[in-house]
Amino acid sequence: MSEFKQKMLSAACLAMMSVAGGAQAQSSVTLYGILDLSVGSFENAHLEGVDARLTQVESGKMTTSFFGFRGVEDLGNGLKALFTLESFMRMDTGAQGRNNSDVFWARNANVGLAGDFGKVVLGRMDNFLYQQALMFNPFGGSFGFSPTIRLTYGAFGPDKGDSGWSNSIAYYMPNLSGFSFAGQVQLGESETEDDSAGLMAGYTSGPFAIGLGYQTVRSAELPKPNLASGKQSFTLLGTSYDLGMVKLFGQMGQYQGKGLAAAVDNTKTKIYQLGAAVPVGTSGKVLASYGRQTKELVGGDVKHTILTLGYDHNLSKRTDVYTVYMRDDDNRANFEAGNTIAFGIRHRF
Amino acid sequence: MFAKKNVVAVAALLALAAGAAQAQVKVYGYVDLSVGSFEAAGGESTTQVSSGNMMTSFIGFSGSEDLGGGLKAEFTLETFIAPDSGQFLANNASAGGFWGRGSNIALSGGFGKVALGQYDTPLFISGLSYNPFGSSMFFSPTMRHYYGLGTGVGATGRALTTDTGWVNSVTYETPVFGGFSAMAQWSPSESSTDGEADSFTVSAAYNAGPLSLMAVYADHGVTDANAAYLGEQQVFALNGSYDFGAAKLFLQYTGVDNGDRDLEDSAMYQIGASVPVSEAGKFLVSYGQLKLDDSDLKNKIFSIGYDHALSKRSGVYAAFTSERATDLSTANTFAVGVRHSF
Repeated sequence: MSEFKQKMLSAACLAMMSVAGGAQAQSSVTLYGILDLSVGSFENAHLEGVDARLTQVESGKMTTSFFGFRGVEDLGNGLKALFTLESFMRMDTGAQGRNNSDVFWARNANVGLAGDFGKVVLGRMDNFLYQQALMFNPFGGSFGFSPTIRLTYGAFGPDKGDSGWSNSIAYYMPNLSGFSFAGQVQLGESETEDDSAGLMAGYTSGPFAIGLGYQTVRSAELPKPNLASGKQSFTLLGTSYDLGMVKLFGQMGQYQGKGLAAAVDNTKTKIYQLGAAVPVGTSGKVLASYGRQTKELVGGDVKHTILTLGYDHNLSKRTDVYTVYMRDDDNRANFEAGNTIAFGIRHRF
Repeated sequence: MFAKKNVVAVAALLALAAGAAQAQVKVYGYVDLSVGSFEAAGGESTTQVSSGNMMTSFIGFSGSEDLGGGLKAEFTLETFIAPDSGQFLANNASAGGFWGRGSNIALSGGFGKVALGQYDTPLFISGLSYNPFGSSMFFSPTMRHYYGLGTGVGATGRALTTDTGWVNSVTYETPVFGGFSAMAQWSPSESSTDGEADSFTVSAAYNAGPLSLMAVYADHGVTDANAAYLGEQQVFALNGSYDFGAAKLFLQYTGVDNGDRDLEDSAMYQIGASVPVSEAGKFLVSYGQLKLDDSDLKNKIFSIGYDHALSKRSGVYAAFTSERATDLSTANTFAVGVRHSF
């Protein structure tokens, strides 16, 4: 597992690090982040005749920009204590968070213990739907370009629970011969909010990987508005196969709302995605992904499809530049497709 | 299979080799606190412990990476702080964003430098470089006339409709050729509403020995997508400085054309000098005037100060500023302060 270790040059920070715990405790604090900026002409599917095209300088299209602190403490006997604090930001304007109602440490704010028993983490962390969604599509966790992510979260996605959960406990079993299992809860912590829960299972063997995620959202934490009633369930199956000259991805999922305040949220929504990543030379990669979301509404199925093609080029192990074309389409009458083209740079520290 | 989420995400997105990439993150900043009697034109004087009067306090994180072939990648994240109250300071430039001093990624090489995100704008760079009080938002007449802290003149309270940095921008800086260099910056309005306009600015500079010159042209747009671009206007600025050794002389002229908007055109000029009196100490003096074209309203600011460097990074200062705005009572401010860079 790659670790990106950074040493802060500030004397004040070095002093801070050595003060933690007692003289015997070995600890290291890492300051890190991923920053992503792009410029492009963006257009989603829109009503005919409406001007929906925007030229923008944007942050976080491939990877949502963030910075963070994390550390590990060796407790002896194979036991480790871990902490992670991560904050999103909008690099284009310098604003904190993904949006103006975001909490400061929205990406991660947790403490964990890891050992032979596996790993247990408490606090705010990614939920299993998000982890599964990003693992089996070539654009990963890209909220700007990944069909899977865009059809699950955001303006077109049914999700009401956000990609991370607060007041959460997650337990990861140790990896056994390629099999993995994990469970997670988000506590509602009040009489009006019920708990949410998730399960994840996976298997990896050589070039082949498969994963299944299931979660039920009954409450929501900041920045999402709380669910006044009802629940939302997600099941997502994903698989990938690395043939060397190409890596193939496939996903199939279903989202179902029940008893939610808005009737349209109680429909069944199906999603599937097919994608590929083709290495080019030693530093480049062609990425392609096609995703379709079908909402089974009373008046007829509404299909939203997104096709994204991209080229990602590594200038180094930490810096890459990318170019993406995305076509966003909605099958309803009076809607026409939108085309997006963007060029971006991503830097990891 | 359940590797840490961020590692899996990275593996899905980038072709990573197994080796770790070492990054050095620089943590740096500036803290400035002063105590004194502060007064704005037409207002009352108050005694305050105030922060950031010589330069706004801030903390920043940056890093650079050598990509080979002369190419370099850099990132910058800077946030203003108000150590007098412990708050972070919002900034008009980023419409109140947390990283209000800068948030950008840049690629540089033989071709110059290209930066994306939130980056200083040429008018701010020329404004601070050609007056003895630099970017002091309280003592520098230029900074106060440009960015309007208490000028009491004009409906917006400041001459310029954009701030010290431009959000949502693409910036290009040329390399230096025989003393010449140029800069261009563009920010799209990011909106399809009628009447919104992109912003664009260019500048050219010449440096040779004791002489330094810089000219800036800016076409400020307007957008409702954020609060950083307030109104259309065109600005032209001419700046010069000459270092005689015994003193450095500064001259600035700025003209603002507000077009059809309901705001008067204006002209500003500044003349100033910094006079070293010892290895560590120097006197700073600056006089600036802003005049509205139609109503003939004027705002005149005179500042004199003494800065004493205790080391390369720390210093103490004392400064006096007098502001006279037409039809308003004169405002006098005196403060002594400490500044420290880390």
